[in-house]
Amino acid sequence: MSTIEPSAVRTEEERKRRAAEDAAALKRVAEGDDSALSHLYDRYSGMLAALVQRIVRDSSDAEEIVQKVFLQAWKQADRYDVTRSSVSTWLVLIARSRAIDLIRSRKVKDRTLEAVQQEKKGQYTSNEGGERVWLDERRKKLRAEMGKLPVEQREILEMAFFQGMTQREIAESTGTPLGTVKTRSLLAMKKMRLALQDEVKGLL
Amino acid sequence: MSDSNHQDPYEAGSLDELCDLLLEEEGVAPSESARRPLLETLAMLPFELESVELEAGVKEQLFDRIASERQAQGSANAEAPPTASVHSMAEHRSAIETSTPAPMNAAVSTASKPGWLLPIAASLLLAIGSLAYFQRNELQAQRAVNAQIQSQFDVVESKLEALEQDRDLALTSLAQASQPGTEACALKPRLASTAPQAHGTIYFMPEGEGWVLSLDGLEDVPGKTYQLWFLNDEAAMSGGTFLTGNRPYMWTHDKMPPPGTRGVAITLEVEGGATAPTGPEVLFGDAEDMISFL
Repeated sequence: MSTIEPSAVRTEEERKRRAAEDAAALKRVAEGDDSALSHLYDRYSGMLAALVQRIVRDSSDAEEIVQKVFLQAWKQADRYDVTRSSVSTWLVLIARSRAIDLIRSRKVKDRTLEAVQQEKKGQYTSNEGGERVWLDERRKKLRAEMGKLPVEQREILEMAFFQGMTQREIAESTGTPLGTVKTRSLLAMKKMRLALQDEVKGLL
Repeated sequence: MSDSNHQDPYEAGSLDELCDLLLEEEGVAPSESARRPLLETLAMLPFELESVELEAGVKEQLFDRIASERQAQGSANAEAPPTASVHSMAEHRSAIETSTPAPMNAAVSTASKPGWLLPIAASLLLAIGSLAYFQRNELQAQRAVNAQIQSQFDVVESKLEALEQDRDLALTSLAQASQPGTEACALKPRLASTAPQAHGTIYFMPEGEGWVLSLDGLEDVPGKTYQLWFLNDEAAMSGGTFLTGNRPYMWTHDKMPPPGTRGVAITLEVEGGATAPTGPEVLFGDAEDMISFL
């Protein structure tokens, strides 16, 4: 697992600045500024497409869903509440919810781990060099931290996140006692919270 | 349009469950603000994935869709109330007249044509205008009905979702509570209880697997929270705070109560809970017979 380069460590101020920049952009979207939406699209569409593709495993569906996510963001920008979540989390939740709805409607019960192995390597959407570096650094950090989790804890977290499965569904699907699933989830959550506390601070 | 508008952007489903699991374990009452840092943490997971390049056309299509929606909204907003629409109908007629192809204009304005053509053309335009006005009113009424149905549907859908969650929790709790070797401790209201109708049971599962609390008849009190206590001869240890949502309530926990527990109590405390029982004791259960078990 890769280690984090010292140069990759971003300050809390920078994370806060980016979060404030996103919130301001969404406010401008609500006021009818399309360039602000274009800015958010450039910043997050690649990540959201990866998220959706990971869930639905179909690139054309991923394109359609990402479009719908930003269309919904455009329509509901005035309903975004900065006290409830950061903009990136807001977009992630919309995209995740739409993608999970789609697989549920298809009655597809997929295996997340298999999806990880088959995941295609893509490229960046944004042309901005700074944006690319920032995404790259965050990816490295996430991978490093997630790589520290035992496989069984990571698997449960991914099943809940990428497949929208409840603890009971995970227990049934993996044949693991519910109590064990809950214990593993708790341990995984605690480790993630500790590992990413600096990142999260910048979003609150 | 309805496919996206009815979705709550903050819908997190199984992620809320994950967050609540941790909050409950730490004795924090689940709430949106308590969940937020945990949700922000979980929402970073997609940043681990390689970005996927989308075709440039996707962005163009998005802005095309926005442009057409904006245009549609503009047209809808331009629909004036009935009194004003008489005026706009006239304008519309005028627009139609001015955009009428030359031959027809010529027919209307040429004095050599029969005089009855003008009143017939005017009547026709008036009839078309009235029909358009009628249809627009029908459309508006239909839209209002659709919006009402959609909003009722959203309410039913969210209630159904809550019921499904309750059912899932109840099934899980029931499965745990019915394991062989589980001990049940009945919780009854005290004489001075603020909820004399309330009752419940706490099930202690074998082999240290934890407990399941099942309650009925406990109504939430604004600004207050219920708090569970495990009592021994010397002290009361908090088991966590909770709200019932004014429904039958079940709570599953995977840790055993502290050794030496001889009683279980539920009190009503200030929001956030207390370090020792201070509020009225709502329910109490005698766990004396379970000393060896606990």
